[in-house]
Amino acid sequence: MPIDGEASSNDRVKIKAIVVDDDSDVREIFIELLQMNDIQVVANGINGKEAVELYKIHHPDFVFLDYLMPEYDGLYAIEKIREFDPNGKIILVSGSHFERNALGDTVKAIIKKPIEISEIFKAINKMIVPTSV
Amino acid sequence: MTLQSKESGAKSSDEWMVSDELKELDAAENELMEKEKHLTLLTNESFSKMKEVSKINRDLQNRIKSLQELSASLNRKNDELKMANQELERKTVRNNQVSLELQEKLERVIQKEKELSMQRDFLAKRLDETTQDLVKAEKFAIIGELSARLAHDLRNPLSVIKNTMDVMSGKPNMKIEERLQHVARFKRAVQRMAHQIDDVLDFVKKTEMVLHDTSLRSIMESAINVILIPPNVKIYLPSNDVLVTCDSRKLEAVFSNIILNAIQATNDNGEVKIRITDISSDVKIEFEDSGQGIPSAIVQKIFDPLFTTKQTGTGLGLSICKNIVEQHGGTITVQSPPTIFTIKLPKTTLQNKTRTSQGM
Repeated sequence: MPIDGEASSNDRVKIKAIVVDDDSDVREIFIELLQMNDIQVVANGINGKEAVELYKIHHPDFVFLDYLMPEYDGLYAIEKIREFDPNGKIILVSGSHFERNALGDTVKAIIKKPIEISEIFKAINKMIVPTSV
Repeated sequence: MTLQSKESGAKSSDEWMVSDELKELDAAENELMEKEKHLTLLTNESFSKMKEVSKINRDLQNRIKSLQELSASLNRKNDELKMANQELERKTVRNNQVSLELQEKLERVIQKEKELSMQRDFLAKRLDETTQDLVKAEKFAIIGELSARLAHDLRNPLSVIKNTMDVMSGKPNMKIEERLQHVARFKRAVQRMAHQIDDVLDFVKKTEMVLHDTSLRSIMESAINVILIPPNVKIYLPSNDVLVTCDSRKLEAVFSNIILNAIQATNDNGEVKIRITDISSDVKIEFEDSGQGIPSAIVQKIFDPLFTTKQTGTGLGLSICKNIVEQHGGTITVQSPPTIFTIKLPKTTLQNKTRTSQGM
Protein backbone atom coordinates (compact mmCIF):
# COMPACT_ATOMS: atom_id res chain seq x y z
CA MET A 1 0.00 0.00 0.00
CA PRO A 2 1.73 3.18 -1.08
CA ILE A 3 -0.81 5.32 0.69
CA ASP A 4 -0.12 5.94 4.34
CA GLY A 5 -1.37 9.39 5.17
CA GLU A 6 -1.44 11.16 8.51
CA ALA A 7 -4.92 9.85 9.20
CA SER A 8 -3.81 6.26 9.31
CA SER A 9 -0.83 6.49 11.65
CA ASN A 10 -1.20 4.17 14.61
CA ASP A 11 -0.30 6.56 17.40
CA ARG A 12 -3.38 8.64 16.70
CA VAL A 13 -6.95 7.85 17.53
CA LYS A 14 -8.42 5.87 14.65
CA ILE A 15 -10.86 7.53 12.30
CA LYS A 16 -14.39 6.32 12.98
CA ALA A 17 -16.56 5.76 9.94
CA ILE A 18 -19.87 4.29 8.86
CA VAL A 19 -20.36 2.66 5.48
CA VAL A 20 -23.74 2.66 3.74
CA ASP A 21 -24.27 0.71 0.51
CA ASP A 22 -27.08 -1.61 -0.54
CA ASP A 23 -24.73 -3.98 -2.38
CA SER A 24 -23.48 -6.44 0.22
CA ASP A 25 -20.35 -7.49 -1.67
CA VAL A 26 -19.32 -3.89 -2.28
CA ARG A 27 -20.05 -2.98 1.34
CA GLU A 28 -18.24 -5.92 2.95
CA ILE A 29 -15.04 -5.76 0.92
CA PHE A 30 -14.94 -1.96 1.24
CA ILE A 31 -15.21 -2.24 5.04
CA GLU A 32 -12.42 -4.80 5.06
CA LEU A 33 -10.24 -2.52 2.95
CA LEU A 34 -10.92 0.50 5.19
CA GLN A 35 -10.12 -1.49 8.31
CA MET A 36 -6.90 -2.76 6.74
CA ASN A 37 -6.03 0.91 6.36
CA ASP A 38 -6.72 1.76 10.02
CA ILE A 39 -10.13 3.27 9.55
CA GLN A 40 -12.52 1.91 12.15
CA VAL A 41 -15.88 1.10 10.65
CA VAL A 42 -18.25 1.39 13.60
CA ALA A 43 -21.43 0.52 11.72
CA ASN A 44 -22.86 -0.15 8.30
CA GLY A 45 -26.25 0.11 6.63
CA ILE A 46 -28.10 -0.55 3.41
CA ASN A 47 -30.06 2.66 2.70
CA GLY A 48 -30.36 6.36 3.40
CA LYS A 49 -32.66 5.94 6.36
CA GLU A 50 -30.23 3.58 8.10
CA ALA A 51 -27.44 6.06 7.35
CA VAL A 52 -29.29 8.77 9.29
CA GLU A 53 -30.08 6.48 12.23
CA LEU A 54 -26.51 5.17 12.43
CA TYR A 55 -25.14 8.74 12.22
CA LYS A 56 -27.30 9.80 15.17
CA ILE A 57 -26.06 6.86 17.26
CA HIS A 58 -22.33 6.87 16.38
CA HIS A 59 -21.51 10.44 15.31
CA PRO A 60 -18.75 9.11 13.04
CA ASP A 61 -15.87 11.21 11.64
CA PHE A 62 -16.83 10.17 8.15
CA VAL A 63 -19.78 8.67 6.32
CA PHE A 64 -19.11 6.68 3.18
CA LEU A 65 -22.40 6.85 1.39
CA ASP A 66 -23.68 5.17 -1.76
CA TYR A 67 -26.09 7.24 -3.85
CA LEU A 68 -28.48 4.85 -5.56
CA MET A 69 -30.20 2.73 -2.90
CA PRO A 70 -33.71 1.32 -2.53
CA GLU A 71 -36.39 3.43 -0.82
CA TYR A 72 -34.11 5.99 0.86
CA ASP A 73 -31.24 7.09 -1.34
CA GLY A 74 -28.02 8.93 -0.60
CA LEU A 75 -29.61 12.34 -1.18
CA TYR A 76 -32.18 11.61 1.54
CA ALA A 77 -29.37 10.80 3.99
CA ILE A 78 -27.36 13.91 3.07
CA GLU A 79 -30.35 16.22 3.61
CA LYS A 80 -31.36 14.61 6.92
CA ILE A 81 -27.84 14.52 8.36
CA ARG A 82 -27.25 18.17 7.37
CA GLU A 83 -30.39 19.13 9.33
CA PHE A 84 -28.78 18.28 12.67
CA ASP A 85 -25.08 18.35 11.74
CA PRO A 86 -24.35 20.82 8.93
CA ASN A 87 -20.63 20.02 9.16
CA GLY A 88 -21.04 16.24 8.99
CA LYS A 89 -18.33 14.83 6.77
CA ILE A 90 -19.98 12.86 4.06
CA ILE A 91 -18.06 11.18 1.26
CA LEU A 92 -20.29 10.01 -1.54
CA VAL A 93 -19.12 6.76 -3.07
CA SER A 94 -21.05 6.52 -6.26
CA GLY A 95 -21.38 4.42 -9.33
CA SER A 96 -21.52 7.25 -11.81
CA HIS A 97 -21.41 10.95 -12.36
CA PHE A 98 -25.23 11.42 -12.44
CA GLU A 99 -24.99 12.38 -8.80
CA ARG A 100 -22.74 15.38 -9.36
CA ASN A 101 -25.58 17.10 -11.21
CA ALA A 102 -28.25 16.05 -8.74
CA LEU A 103 -26.29 17.08 -5.65
CA GLY A 104 -24.57 20.30 -6.64
CA ASP A 105 -22.54 21.59 -3.69
CA THR A 106 -24.22 19.53 -0.99
CA VAL A 107 -21.26 17.17 -0.71
CA LYS A 108 -17.61 18.13 -0.77
CA ALA A 109 -16.30 14.76 -1.86
CA ILE A 110 -17.52 12.34 -4.44
CA ILE A 111 -15.56 9.19 -5.11
CA LYS A 112 -16.23 7.04 -8.12
CA LYS A 113 -16.40 3.28 -8.06
CA PRO A 114 -14.33 1.14 -8.42
CA ILE A 115 -13.12 2.44 -5.07
CA GLU A 116 -9.43 3.41 -5.00
CA ILE A 117 -8.12 3.60 -1.43
CA SER A 118 -5.71 6.42 -2.34
CA GLU A 119 -8.72 8.50 -3.49
CA ILE A 120 -10.36 7.84 -0.14
CA PHE A 121 -7.34 9.21 1.73
CA LYS A 122 -7.11 12.20 -0.60
CA ALA A 123 -10.74 13.05 0.19
CA ILE A 124 -10.24 12.55 3.92
CA ASN A 125 -7.16 14.75 4.01
CA LYS A 126 -8.83 17.45 1.97
CA MET A 127 -11.72 17.52 4.40
CA ILE A 128 -9.79 17.50 7.66
CA VAL A 129 -7.01 19.94 6.74
CA PRO A 130 -9.12 23.17 6.86
CA THR A 131 -10.47 22.39 10.33
CA SER A 132 -7.01 21.56 11.73
CA VAL A 133 -5.49 24.85 10.54
CA MET B 1 -168.39 32.48 -122.31
CA THR B 2 -170.89 30.31 -123.84
CA LEU B 3 -171.80 28.95 -120.40
CA GLN B 4 -172.08 32.45 -119.08
CA SER B 5 -174.28 33.39 -121.90
CA LYS B 6 -176.48 30.36 -121.44
CA GLU B 7 -176.86 31.22 -117.75
CA SER B 8 -177.39 34.80 -118.44
CA GLY B 9 -179.67 33.67 -121.15
CA ALA B 10 -181.99 32.33 -118.55
CA LYS B 11 -182.05 35.46 -116.67
CA SER B 12 -181.36 38.94 -117.79
CA SER B 13 -178.31 39.53 -119.66
CA ASP B 14 -177.06 41.61 -116.78
CA GLU B 15 -178.01 38.93 -114.44
CA TRP B 16 -176.11 36.62 -116.61
CA MET B 17 -173.22 38.74 -116.51
CA VAL B 18 -173.26 39.18 -112.70
CA SER B 19 -173.71 35.57 -112.01
CA ASP B 20 -170.93 34.80 -114.35
CA GLU B 21 -168.75 37.22 -112.58
CA LEU B 22 -169.81 35.87 -109.19
CA LYS B 23 -169.05 32.45 -110.37
CA GLU B 24 -165.76 33.64 -111.53
CA LEU B 25 -165.22 35.37 -108.21
CA ASP B 26 -166.17 32.29 -106.30
CA ALA B 27 -163.87 30.26 -108.35
CA ALA B 28 -161.17 32.80 -107.87
CA GLU B 29 -162.02 32.93 -104.20
CA ASN B 30 -161.75 29.20 -104.03
CA GLU B 31 -158.63 29.27 -105.91
CA LEU B 32 -157.29 31.94 -103.57
CA MET B 33 -158.37 29.94 -100.58
CA GLU B 34 -156.72 26.96 -102.08
CA LYS B 35 -153.67 28.98 -102.67
CA GLU B 36 -153.91 30.47 -99.21
CA LYS B 37 -154.20 27.02 -97.79
CA HIS B 38 -151.28 25.97 -99.80
CA LEU B 39 -149.40 29.02 -98.81
CA THR B 40 -150.25 28.50 -95.20
CA LEU B 41 -149.07 25.00 -95.57
CA LEU B 42 -145.97 26.17 -97.26
CA THR B 43 -145.55 28.84 -94.66
CA ASN B 44 -145.96 26.32 -91.94
CA GLU B 45 -143.63 24.07 -93.68
CA SER B 46 -141.08 26.75 -94.22
CA PHE B 47 -141.60 27.96 -90.69
CA SER B 48 -140.83 24.60 -89.27
CA LYS B 49 -137.97 24.33 -91.65
CA MET B 50 -136.81 27.72 -90.54
CA LYS B 51 -137.20 26.59 -86.99
CA GLU B 52 -135.11 23.61 -87.78
CA VAL B 53 -132.56 25.68 -89.58
CA SER B 54 -132.46 28.17 -86.81
CA LYS B 55 -132.00 25.34 -84.36
CA ILE B 56 -129.20 23.99 -86.52
CA ASN B 57 -127.93 27.46 -86.74
CA ARG B 58 -128.06 27.83 -82.96
CA ASP B 59 -126.32 24.55 -82.60
CA LEU B 60 -123.70 25.61 -85.05
CA GLN B 61 -123.39 28.91 -83.31
CA ASN B 62 -123.01 27.10 -80.05
CA ARG B 63 -120.39 24.91 -81.57
CA ILE B 64 -118.66 27.85 -83.09
CA LYS B 65 -118.82 29.53 -79.75
CA SER B 66 -117.36 26.58 -77.96
CA LEU B 67 -114.82 26.22 -80.71
CA GLN B 68 -114.04 29.85 -80.35
CA GLU B 69 -113.75 29.40 -76.63
CA LEU B 70 -111.59 26.38 -77.19
CA SER B 71 -109.50 28.31 -79.62
CA ALA B 72 -109.24 31.17 -77.14
CA SER B 73 -108.20 28.88 -74.34
CA LEU B 74 -105.79 27.18 -76.70
CA ASN B 75 -104.40 30.54 -77.57
CA ARG B 76 -104.18 31.38 -73.94
CA LYS B 77 -102.46 28.10 -73.26
CA ASN B 78 -100.24 28.65 -76.19
CA ASP B 79 -99.36 32.06 -74.86
CA GLU B 80 -98.69 30.55 -71.50
CA LEU B 81 -96.56 27.90 -73.10
CA LYS B 82 -94.75 30.53 -75.05
CA MET B 83 -94.15 32.44 -71.89
CA ALA B 84 -93.09 29.33 -70.11
CA ASN B 85 -90.84 28.51 -72.98
CA GLN B 86 -89.36 31.96 -72.87
CA GLU B 87 -88.92 31.64 -69.14
CA LEU B 88 -87.34 28.27 -69.71
CA GLU B 89 -85.04 29.70 -72.30
CA ARG B 90 -84.09 32.46 -69.92
CA LYS B 91 -83.56 29.88 -67.23
CA THR B 92 -81.53 27.73 -69.56
CA VAL B 93 -79.35 30.69 -70.32
CA ARG B 94 -79.02 31.39 -66.66
CA ASN B 95 -78.40 27.70 -65.99
CA ASN B 96 -75.72 27.63 -68.59
CA GLN B 97 -74.15 30.61 -66.92
CA VAL B 98 -74.40 28.98 -63.53
CA SER B 99 -73.09 25.76 -64.96
CA LEU B 100 -70.15 27.63 -66.42
CA GLU B 101 -69.53 29.30 -63.10
CA LEU B 102 -69.81 25.93 -61.38
CA GLN B 103 -67.37 24.43 -63.79
CA GLU B 104 -64.98 27.24 -63.11
CA LYS B 105 -65.47 26.78 -59.41
CA LEU B 106 -65.05 23.03 -59.74
CA GLU B 107 -61.84 23.57 -61.60
CA ARG B 108 -60.71 25.89 -58.85
CA VAL B 109 -61.71 23.26 -56.27
CA ILE B 110 -59.78 20.62 -58.17
CA GLN B 111 -56.81 22.95 -58.29
CA LYS B 112 -57.14 23.60 -54.56
CA GLU B 113 -57.48 19.88 -53.97
CA LYS B 114 -54.30 19.28 -55.91
CA GLU B 115 -52.54 21.95 -53.91
CA LEU B 116 -53.90 20.49 -50.68
CA SER B 117 -52.85 16.97 -51.61
CA MET B 118 -49.41 18.32 -52.43
CA GLN B 119 -49.35 20.09 -49.11
CA ARG B 120 -50.57 16.93 -47.40
CA ASP B 121 -47.85 14.88 -49.07
CA PHE B 122 -45.32 17.49 -48.02
CA LEU B 123 -46.62 17.46 -44.45
CA ALA B 124 -46.69 13.67 -44.40
CA LYS B 125 -43.09 13.65 -45.53
CA ARG B 126 -42.20 16.20 -42.89
CA LEU B 127 -44.05 14.16 -40.29
CA ASP B 128 -42.20 11.04 -41.38
CA GLU B 129 -38.90 12.83 -41.17
CA THR B 130 -39.75 14.34 -37.79
CA THR B 131 -40.93 10.96 -36.52
CA GLN B 132 -37.75 9.34 -37.74
CA ASP B 133 -35.74 12.08 -36.08
CA LEU B 134 -37.70 11.57 -32.89
CA VAL B 135 -37.24 7.81 -33.06
CA LYS B 136 -33.54 8.37 -33.68
CA ALA B 137 -33.42 10.87 -30.82
CA GLU B 138 -35.29 8.45 -28.60
CA LYS B 139 -32.93 5.66 -29.65
CA PHE B 140 -29.98 7.87 -28.81
CA ALA B 141 -31.59 8.77 -25.50
CA ILE B 142 -32.12 5.07 -24.78
CA ILE B 143 -28.56 4.24 -25.84
CA GLY B 144 -27.28 7.10 -23.72
CA GLU B 145 -29.27 6.00 -20.72
CA LEU B 146 -28.37 2.38 -21.42
CA SER B 147 -24.65 3.08 -21.49
CA ALA B 148 -24.88 5.27 -18.39
CA ARG B 149 -26.80 2.52 -16.61
CA LEU B 150 -24.40 -0.13 -17.84
CA ALA B 151 -21.43 1.93 -16.69
CA HIS B 152 -23.06 2.50 -13.33
CA ASP B 153 -23.98 -1.14 -12.91
CA LEU B 154 -20.55 -2.37 -13.92
CA ARG B 155 -18.87 -0.09 -11.39
CA ASN B 156 -20.24 -2.03 -8.41
CA PRO B 157 -18.85 -5.47 -9.35
CA LEU B 158 -15.71 -3.77 -10.65
CA SER B 159 -15.29 -2.16 -7.25
CA VAL B 160 -15.75 -5.55 -5.59
CA ILE B 161 -13.05 -7.07 -7.81
CA LYS B 162 -10.64 -4.20 -7.28
CA ASN B 163 -11.11 -4.00 -3.49
CA THR B 164 -10.90 -7.78 -3.09
CA MET B 165 -7.60 -7.68 -4.99
CA ASP B 166 -6.40 -4.85 -2.73
CA VAL B 167 -7.32 -6.81 0.38
CA MET B 168 -5.81 -10.05 -0.89
CA SER B 169 -2.54 -8.42 -1.87
CA GLY B 170 -2.44 -6.65 1.48
CA LYS B 171 -2.77 -9.98 3.30
CA PRO B 172 -0.49 -12.41 1.50
CA ASN B 173 -0.74 -15.02 4.23
CA MET B 174 -4.48 -15.27 4.17
CA LYS B 175 -6.15 -18.38 5.49
CA ILE B 176 -7.68 -20.68 2.90
CA GLU B 177 -11.24 -20.12 4.23
CA GLU B 178 -10.90 -16.40 3.90
CA ARG B 179 -9.33 -16.79 0.47
CA LEU B 180 -12.31 -18.88 -0.68
CA GLN B 181 -14.66 -16.16 0.54
CA HIS B 182 -12.85 -13.68 -1.64
CA VAL B 183 -12.84 -16.02 -4.60
CA ALA B 184 -16.62 -16.38 -4.25
CA ARG B 185 -16.87 -12.57 -4.35
CA PHE B 186 -14.78 -12.51 -7.52
CA LYS B 187 -17.08 -15.09 -9.08
CA ARG B 188 -20.25 -13.21 -8.17
CA ALA B 189 -18.83 -9.95 -9.49
CA VAL B 190 -17.80 -11.52 -12.77
CA GLN B 191 -21.19 -13.21 -13.14
CA ARG B 192 -22.99 -9.96 -12.52
CA MET B 193 -20.92 -8.15 -15.10
CA ALA B 194 -21.50 -10.90 -17.63
CA HIS B 195 -25.25 -10.78 -16.93
CA GLN B 196 -25.40 -7.01 -17.37
CA ILE B 197 -23.51 -7.20 -20.64
CA ASP B 198 -25.61 -10.14 -21.92
CA ASP B 199 -28.83 -8.28 -21.17
CA VAL B 200 -27.66 -5.21 -23.01
CA LEU B 201 -26.43 -7.21 -25.98
CA ASP B 202 -29.68 -9.19 -26.12
CA PHE B 203 -31.55 -5.92 -26.13
CA VAL B 204 -29.39 -4.25 -28.73
CA LYS B 205 -29.35 -7.00 -31.32
CA LYS B 206 -32.36 -8.99 -32.38
CA THR B 207 -30.97 -12.35 -33.44
CA GLU B 208 -32.60 -14.54 -36.08
CA MET B 209 -35.12 -17.11 -34.94
CA VAL B 210 -34.42 -20.81 -35.14
CA LEU B 211 -37.85 -22.43 -35.39
CA HIS B 212 -38.75 -25.99 -34.36
CA ASP B 213 -41.91 -27.71 -33.17
CA THR B 214 -41.27 -27.88 -29.45
CA SER B 215 -43.31 -28.91 -26.42
CA LEU B 216 -44.06 -25.94 -24.18
CA ARG B 217 -43.67 -28.06 -21.05
CA SER B 218 -40.15 -29.10 -22.03
CA ILE B 219 -39.21 -25.44 -22.52
CA MET B 220 -40.68 -24.60 -19.10
CA GLU B 221 -38.76 -27.46 -17.49
CA SER B 222 -35.43 -26.33 -18.91
CA ALA B 223 -36.27 -22.73 -17.95
CA ILE B 224 -36.81 -23.82 -14.34
CA ASN B 225 -33.60 -25.87 -14.40
CA VAL B 226 -31.46 -22.76 -14.80
CA ILE B 227 -33.16 -21.00 -11.88
CA LEU B 228 -32.13 -21.48 -8.27
CA ILE B 229 -35.51 -22.02 -6.63
CA PRO B 230 -35.67 -20.99 -2.94
CA PRO B 231 -36.86 -23.80 -0.62
CA ASN B 232 -40.09 -21.99 0.35
CA VAL B 233 -41.22 -21.40 -3.22
CA LYS B 234 -43.36 -23.98 -5.01
CA ILE B 235 -43.67 -23.95 -8.77
CA TYR B 236 -46.66 -25.70 -10.33
CA LEU B 237 -46.12 -26.74 -13.94
CA PRO B 238 -49.20 -27.36 -16.10
CA SER B 239 -50.37 -30.95 -16.49
CA ASN B 240 -51.23 -30.46 -20.17
CA ASP B 241 -48.86 -29.66 -23.02
CA VAL B 242 -48.99 -28.07 -26.48
CA LEU B 243 -46.56 -28.23 -29.40
CA VAL B 244 -45.56 -24.81 -30.69
CA THR B 245 -43.38 -23.78 -33.63
CA CYS B 246 -40.90 -21.53 -31.90
CA ASP B 247 -37.32 -20.66 -31.09
CA SER B 248 -37.11 -22.74 -27.91
CA ARG B 249 -33.93 -21.06 -26.62
CA LYS B 250 -35.52 -17.66 -26.88
CA LEU B 251 -38.79 -18.80 -25.28
CA GLU B 252 -36.78 -20.45 -22.51
CA ALA B 253 -35.19 -17.07 -21.77
CA VAL B 254 -38.65 -15.50 -21.67
CA PHE B 255 -40.04 -18.18 -19.33
CA SER B 256 -37.05 -18.12 -16.96
CA ASN B 257 -37.19 -14.32 -16.82
CA ILE B 258 -40.89 -14.30 -15.92
CA ILE B 259 -40.56 -17.19 -13.45
CA LEU B 260 -37.59 -15.48 -11.79
CA ASN B 261 -39.57 -12.25 -11.47
CA ALA B 262 -42.49 -14.24 -10.04
CA ILE B 263 -40.24 -15.91 -7.44
CA GLN B 264 -38.80 -12.53 -6.46
CA ALA B 265 -42.34 -11.13 -6.18
CA THR B 266 -43.16 -13.75 -3.52
CA ASN B 267 -40.15 -12.61 -1.44
CA ASP B 268 -38.85 -16.19 -1.73
CA ASN B 269 -41.93 -17.50 0.05
CA GLY B 270 -45.01 -18.50 -1.90
CA GLU B 271 -46.03 -20.20 -5.10
CA VAL B 272 -45.92 -19.75 -8.86
CA LYS B 273 -48.60 -21.40 -10.98
CA ILE B 274 -48.10 -21.93 -14.71
CA ARG B 275 -51.06 -22.74 -16.97
CA ILE B 276 -51.33 -23.67 -20.65
CA THR B 277 -54.64 -23.16 -22.47
CA ASP B 278 -55.17 -24.47 -26.00
CA ILE B 279 -57.26 -21.94 -28.01
CA SER B 280 -57.62 -23.34 -31.56
CA SER B 281 -54.69 -21.86 -33.53
CA ASP B 282 -53.26 -20.05 -30.51
CA VAL B 283 -51.95 -21.07 -27.14
CA LYS B 284 -52.25 -19.06 -23.93
CA ILE B 285 -49.57 -19.37 -21.25
CA GLU B 286 -50.19 -17.83 -17.83
CA PHE B 287 -47.76 -17.28 -14.95
CA GLU B 288 -49.47 -16.43 -11.66
CA ASP B 289 -47.60 -15.65 -8.46
CA SER B 290 -48.79 -15.34 -4.86
CA GLY B 291 -46.89 -12.08 -4.35
CA GLN B 292 -48.42 -8.79 -3.24
CA GLY B 293 -49.04 -7.59 -6.79
CA ILE B 294 -47.69 -4.73 -8.85
CA PRO B 295 -48.74 -1.11 -8.12
CA SER B 296 -50.93 0.19 -10.97
CA ALA B 297 -48.52 3.07 -11.71
CA ILE B 298 -45.78 0.54 -12.43
CA VAL B 299 -47.87 -1.95 -14.43
CA GLN B 300 -47.99 0.38 -17.44
CA LYS B 301 -44.22 0.85 -17.60
CA ILE B 302 -43.27 -2.72 -16.85
CA PHE B 303 -42.35 -3.61 -20.45
CA ASP B 304 -40.54 -0.32 -21.14
CA PRO B 305 -36.82 -0.67 -21.75
CA LEU B 306 -34.67 0.49 -18.81
CA PHE B 307 -37.62 0.46 -16.42
CA THR B 308 -36.67 -1.40 -13.26
CA THR B 309 -37.64 -1.57 -9.62
CA LYS B 310 -34.54 -3.57 -8.73
CA GLN B 311 -31.25 -2.12 -7.62
CA THR B 312 -29.15 -4.40 -9.76
CA GLY B 313 -31.61 -4.76 -12.64
CA THR B 314 -30.91 -3.51 -16.13
CA GLY B 315 -34.57 -2.79 -16.81
CA LEU B 316 -34.23 -4.83 -19.95
CA GLY B 317 -35.52 -8.29 -18.94
CA LEU B 318 -39.23 -7.82 -19.63
CA SER B 319 -38.51 -5.54 -22.57
CA ILE B 320 -36.47 -8.37 -24.14
CA CYS B 321 -39.27 -10.85 -23.29
CA LYS B 322 -41.75 -8.63 -25.12
CA ASN B 323 -39.46 -8.41 -28.15
CA ILE B 324 -39.09 -12.19 -28.30
CA VAL B 325 -42.82 -12.86 -27.92
CA GLU B 326 -43.59 -10.29 -30.63
CA GLN B 327 -40.95 -11.87 -32.87
CA HIS B 328 -43.04 -15.04 -32.57
CA GLY B 329 -46.16 -13.10 -33.62
CA GLY B 330 -47.54 -13.23 -30.08
CA THR B 331 -48.48 -10.83 -27.32
CA ILE B 332 -47.52 -10.47 -23.67
CA THR B 333 -49.70 -8.71 -21.12
CA VAL B 334 -49.82 -8.37 -17.36
CA GLN B 335 -52.58 -7.91 -14.83
CA SER B 336 -52.36 -7.46 -11.08
CA PRO B 337 -53.25 -8.38 -8.38
CA PRO B 338 -52.80 -11.30 -8.36
CA THR B 339 -49.99 -10.79 -10.81
CA ILE B 340 -50.60 -12.84 -13.96
CA PHE B 341 -48.32 -12.57 -16.98
CA THR B 342 -50.18 -13.83 -20.06
CA ILE B 343 -48.38 -14.82 -23.24
CA LYS B 344 -50.42 -15.62 -26.35
CA LEU B 345 -48.57 -17.39 -29.14
CA PRO B 346 -49.69 -18.71 -32.52
CA LYS B 347 -48.95 -22.45 -32.61
CA THR B 348 -47.34 -22.09 -36.01
CA THR B 349 -45.21 -19.05 -36.71
CA LEU B 350 -45.27 -19.38 -40.50
CA GLN B 351 -45.03 -15.67 -41.25
CA ASN B 352 -41.97 -15.35 -39.14
CA LYS B 353 -40.47 -18.43 -40.72
CA THR B 354 -40.63 -16.90 -44.19
CA ARG B 355 -39.46 -13.57 -42.88
CA THR B 356 -36.52 -15.26 -41.21
CA SER B 357 -35.58 -17.22 -44.32
CA GLN B 358 -35.82 -14.03 -46.38
CA GLY B 359 -33.76 -12.24 -43.81
CA MET B 360 -31.01 -14.81 -44.08
